[in-house]
Amino acid sequence: MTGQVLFFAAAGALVASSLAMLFTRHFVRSVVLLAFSLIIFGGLFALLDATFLGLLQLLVYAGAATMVLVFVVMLSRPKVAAFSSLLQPQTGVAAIAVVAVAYPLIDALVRLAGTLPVAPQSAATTADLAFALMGPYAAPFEIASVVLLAALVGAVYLAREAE
Amino acid sequence: MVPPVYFMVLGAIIFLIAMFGFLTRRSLLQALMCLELMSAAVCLTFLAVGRTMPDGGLTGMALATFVTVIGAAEIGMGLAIVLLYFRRHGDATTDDIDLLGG
Repeated sequence: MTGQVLFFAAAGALVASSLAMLFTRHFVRSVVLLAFSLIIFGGLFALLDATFLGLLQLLVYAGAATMVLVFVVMLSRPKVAAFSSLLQPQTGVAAIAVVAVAYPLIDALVRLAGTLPVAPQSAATTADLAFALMGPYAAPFEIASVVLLAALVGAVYLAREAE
Repeated sequence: MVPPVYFMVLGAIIFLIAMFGFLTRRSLLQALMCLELMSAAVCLTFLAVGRTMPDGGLTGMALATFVTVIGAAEIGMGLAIVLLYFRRHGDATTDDIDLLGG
């Protein structure tokens, strides 16, 4: 029961802060709202018994990525986005695209809801995840580390001062 | 325990909100922020679907780890490109960038 209350409180706060992130005029405010959303995501992951993923979410997304975003906002001084920029020609097209994606998504979820197996009582632990990443998922894990290294080098190369 | 399908519905809602934002925001920075929200929503869906599997969510956790890694790489590269564009042109909106035509 406590889990349900926590879930609905988190879900409400998450939807509210995501919508507020879209509609606020100020960059820094929308970055803060994004960080708030990502922290709630970390809590939701923990609620799904994925404590390690929740902590990873806090560290990588809510911590590091938000910090980098704040730095880019400070370095680039973006112009304050006018609120009227929401009412541009492609808003209608975007709404149609969202509905086109939403319809099959909702349809699939409704059909899935009845057939889902009950969650097993014992959740996988962080140790299980560690053994899985070093065992059956070792190859993708190594490739992921190469991707991260390439992204790091690429970001440094792109963002360096032009000579 | 909260039924995993609730988390899937929440993930879908957040994904759609972020998708709408990604398609309508004119600022590249805000588009990137929406992308980040989208990948977090996908992570949540992976974890929720994984939780219904007999392995106790292990597959979902492994996939969510890789989504997080890709998301981190994407935000790093994306912000470097945005910063570069800002430095050269003073502003970065999705309407102005049409070097590749279209």
